[in-house]
Amino acid sequence: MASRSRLSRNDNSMAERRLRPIYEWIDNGNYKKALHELDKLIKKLPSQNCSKALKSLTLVRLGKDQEAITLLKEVRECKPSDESTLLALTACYRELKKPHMVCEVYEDALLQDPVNEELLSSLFMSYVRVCDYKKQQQTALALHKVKPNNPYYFWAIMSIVMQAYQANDEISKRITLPLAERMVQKYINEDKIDAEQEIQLYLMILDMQRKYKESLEILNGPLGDKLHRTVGLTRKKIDIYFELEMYAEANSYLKSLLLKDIDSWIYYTKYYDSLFKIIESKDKYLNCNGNNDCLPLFDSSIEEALLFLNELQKLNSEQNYPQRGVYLARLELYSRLKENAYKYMGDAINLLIEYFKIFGHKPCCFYDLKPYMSLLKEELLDEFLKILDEIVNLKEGEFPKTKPQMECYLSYLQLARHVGIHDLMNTEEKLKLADRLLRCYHKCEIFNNSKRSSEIMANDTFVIMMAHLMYDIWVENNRLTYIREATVVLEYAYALSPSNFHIKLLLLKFYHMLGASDASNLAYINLEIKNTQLDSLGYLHTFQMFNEGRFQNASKLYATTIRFFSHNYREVADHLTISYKFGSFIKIIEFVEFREKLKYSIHHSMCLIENYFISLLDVDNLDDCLEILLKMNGVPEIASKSQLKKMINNRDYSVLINYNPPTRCLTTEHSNQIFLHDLRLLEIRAVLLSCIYYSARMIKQSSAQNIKTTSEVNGLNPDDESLNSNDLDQLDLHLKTLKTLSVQLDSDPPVPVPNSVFGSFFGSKLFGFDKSKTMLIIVINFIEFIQTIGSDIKTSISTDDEWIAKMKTNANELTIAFDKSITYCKFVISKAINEIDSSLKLEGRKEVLEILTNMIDTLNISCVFLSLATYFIKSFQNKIVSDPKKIKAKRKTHSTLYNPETQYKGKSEILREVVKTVQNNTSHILVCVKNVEEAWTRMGCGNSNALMLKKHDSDYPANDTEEGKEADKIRQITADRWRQLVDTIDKKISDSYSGSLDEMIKILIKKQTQINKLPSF
Amino acid sequence: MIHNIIFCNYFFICSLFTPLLTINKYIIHFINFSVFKHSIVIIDNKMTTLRPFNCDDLFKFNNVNLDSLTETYAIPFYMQYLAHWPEYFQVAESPTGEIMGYIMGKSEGQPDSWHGHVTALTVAPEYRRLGVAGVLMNWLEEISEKKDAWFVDLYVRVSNTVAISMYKSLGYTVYRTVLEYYSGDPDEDAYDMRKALSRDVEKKSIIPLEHPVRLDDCD
Repeated sequence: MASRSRLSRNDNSMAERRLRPIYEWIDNGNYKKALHELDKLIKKLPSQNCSKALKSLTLVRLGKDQEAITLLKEVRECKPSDESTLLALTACYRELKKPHMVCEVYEDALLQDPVNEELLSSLFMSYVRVCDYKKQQQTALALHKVKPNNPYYFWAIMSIVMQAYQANDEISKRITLPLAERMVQKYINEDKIDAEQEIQLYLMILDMQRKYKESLEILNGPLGDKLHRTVGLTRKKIDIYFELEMYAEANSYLKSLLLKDIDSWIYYTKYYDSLFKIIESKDKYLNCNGNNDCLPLFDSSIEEALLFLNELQKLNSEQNYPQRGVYLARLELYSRLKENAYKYMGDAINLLIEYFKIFGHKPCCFYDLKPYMSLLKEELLDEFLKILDEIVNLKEGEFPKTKPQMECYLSYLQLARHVGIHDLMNTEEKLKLADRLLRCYHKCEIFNNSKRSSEIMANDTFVIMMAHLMYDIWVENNRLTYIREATVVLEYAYALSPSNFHIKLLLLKFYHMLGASDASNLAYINLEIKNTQLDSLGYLHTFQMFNEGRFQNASKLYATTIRFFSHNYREVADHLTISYKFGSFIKIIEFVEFREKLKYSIHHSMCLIENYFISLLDVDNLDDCLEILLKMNGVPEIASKSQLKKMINNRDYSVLINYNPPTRCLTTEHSNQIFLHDLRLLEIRAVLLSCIYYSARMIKQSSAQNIKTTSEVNGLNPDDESLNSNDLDQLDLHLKTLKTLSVQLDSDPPVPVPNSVFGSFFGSKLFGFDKSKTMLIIVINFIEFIQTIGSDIKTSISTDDEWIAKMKTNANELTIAFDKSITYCKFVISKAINEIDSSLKLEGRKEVLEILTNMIDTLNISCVFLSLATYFIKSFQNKIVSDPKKIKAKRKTHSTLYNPETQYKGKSEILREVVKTVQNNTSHILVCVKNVEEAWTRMGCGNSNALMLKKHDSDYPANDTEEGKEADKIRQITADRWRQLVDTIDKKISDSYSGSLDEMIKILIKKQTQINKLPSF
Repeated sequence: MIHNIIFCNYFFICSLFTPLLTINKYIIHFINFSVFKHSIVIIDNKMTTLRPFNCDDLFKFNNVNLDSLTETYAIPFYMQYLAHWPEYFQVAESPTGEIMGYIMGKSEGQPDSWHGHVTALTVAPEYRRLGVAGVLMNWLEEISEKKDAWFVDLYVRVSNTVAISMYKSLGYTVYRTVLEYYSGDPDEDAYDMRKALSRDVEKKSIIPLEHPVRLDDCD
């Protein structure tokens, strides 16, 4: 039992006996019971630190952090050094997210026993957790002194390396790294190296100093022999040759590697790298080649390289199965030769066709050839496709007869799409092709030899490509009905191939395009996205749900994501310590960098901010609202420029498969563009939230002062005063930033990634903001309003009248901005609820949902400000009512500028007006949402019988051949299934809409309640 | 996998309440210098570049991990392997730098049953049936050979016929059946498949057990 060892040092056997079950209760989450027992134990033995520390841990687990911290202070004062107390304290601070306190705990403990190895080692690990490399080094050396062994010595060296890694300037690197090197050197000279990891560390130190020659010597020397567990030594050697510009050696080394392994891609690319370097500086090598005394045999011309490739080709043909390496290697050489390629190798078309002939039936064919399609001359494109068509060998209207033929046909289709053939087609032709693909899909079902649901079906690619074609048509004519049809086909395919995640991803995207939140949520759930995928794939779904009015689902996902980040940031620290224990020095920098990536993930920050907004949405009374607001102390940090600068994008855009031409694929520029959009959005939202946070603090402070004056406290507490003005300053600062950002939206509007680029998924919510800028104006006016209402006259020189005038202006502006927003909202809505054309009925629904949620978001923020304003006015009222004499007295002494009574009257009157404005607008929006729901229910999703794909079917001339009949039969069988499916999906989409709208209504009613519940004044 | 949940829990408790540590050697399972000379490992590469798995890949492996039979574990699980057995965690990269698949494994066991273990092996759908899995397995076997292991073992769902036949083609045989190894609805049994390495000349490690075992009875 672990608990026994924990207490082995405890003198008090009674305590030990009684603590034992408590450990178990804590481990099992039975905190109430543990707390009860601990209280009894502490009463009996008040000097027992361990039970107090455990009580703190229990309190932390119960969420009573403040109590825990107080108790921890008490324990800390005793400077405990017994193991069980220390462990409990460590656990406490870990869970309180204060790892640096653990260091202090052990530092204190060591004061009593400075040469205790266990304590020192724990101290070392606690420094590792907080990345204090300097102290790590000192502690490791102290450990080494207590017990001279290799691990402690190398911990110290690694700590030095980390200091060099951390320091950005060259000077400190020039000092620290040589020190680390000398320390290892010493051990090498004394022949004390006894583990592979130590040599790895040495190589790392040499690398960081770019001492490649020395590295090479190690690799080739006796120490290199010890590196048998280390992987990637071949790669390392190659890299070193390149760094040292020993291209001839590299070339000859790579040749020898390739002869043994003709299919290793990295060797080919490196071989070419070295070849072209040699050719570049040919003179240098001219006299040496062939002369064994000088240099080993290497290639120094394209001709020689081609000969070498032939040699490899010969080896390849001797094998049972041809391998792709040599064929692709030729294409690679061709692409590297650029304009000279033709001179040596003729037209690329032959190379491409040669490859296709052999590997056309492999699913990797498209991915292999994709990078080389640009080598093909434009005028040869048609010929190329014609030859490919001949290889596939399918006549017009024929279907693949074998699985390899099907795969080959798919490769052909993918390549044709990639070279832009589909983009040349008009809508009619695209539909025809889509129809053809669909038939192929049905016909090729027979080739799915595996009926296992965990396997991806071989014919799925037809459907995926069809979905892309439908997407193309949508890009062209903007009719969402094509997207809806694609979802029908995709749902059909999904039912037969439930593990094909490409289908699920497409469904997710398409449902979101329609604004069908629940339907897309289902697709998301089916993808089973978790852990790191929450970060890398979260962009697919997380922020869409809020935009579509599914606040609860959004809130749940935010919470899951935030938990993932905060939990793992801690966990990674644990693995840093493990790496030291295991001597996995090569992984330490990687782990540190990974931790940073989690910490500064933009997705994390966005979820944090949006989660705050959504938690405010759920509030319907003043106290809860204030409580949430005052807990947002982490927000201003996110809003700071320095933090925003560190943001990292961990998204994986490559997961969405497509066969588009390069111009329609997501490039790095695109993904940077999207990242910048999100960064702007994050800044707006974080700054806005900071404004709310500081407003809340300011209001709280001002109100507290009001109350204090009432209860006859002698003057104001100077601390409070300064805090208040500090909050005011911060509010000013953030408001200014917010205004700048809002202006920037006008002056420098975000440019979206074009729709034709498939991988972009969705534009940032920034565009939603851009469209409804008036809403941002509402918010800004509100902040100014609250600023005026809450700031104390005494801190300013203005007169009552000026204040009142300013508030009036803000209030008027608010009304105007609200009117504008509502008008815009109604304009967007009217387009989407009065459509008669059945093929256009789904148009604009997503926009409607978006504008409504934006409006709700604005109303929500308005309610927050109303609550704050009321809170303040209320306290102000109390002050006047309870202390009329005092005020009268004051009135005499003070100048006439300050008159609380008239001030109160003026302020409260305007506030009442504003409350009415928000109230009215909330009702307006509520009516709007109800209208939309009523209209959409009436409209349905359009005419479900008018499916483009099927309509097109009937246009096909009746086919009397055997095959035509067969096709008809299949279509007949599937037609019924399809009709059912269409109905199901239409229902799914309609239900999604009403689900979203219902939730909006619920929230709006809640907001109404919140306003109604505001105390009267 | 039951297996992993237990593992993670253990780890959690461990990090909270383990006794303080002292170290004489790095905690490595096997140190044996000078037996093997450094040599270049030659593997039939199938247009593949093998490279060590790194933390960044956790953000990029979606094309492989969205597969329904590939589990995406919590970060600590991967980091555990990266910290202990970095050489056993390899990625197969395509010419364009995409992740085609990866293998995650470890070496474990008492001296008389010291062996390599395959924890996860997976290949993206587009790159299946190209022998990528074979390359990755080959790698793991090579490393295990270097570590002087007796055999390599792995667990596979009894229903996963595709994987089972692939492992058979690579020389693995069913050593025993482990009942209800995979939790789910319903729980599923696993085959414990093994392949003897060169050290086990008489191939004693792979003689099949007659009766299935429960998870608790596994070593």
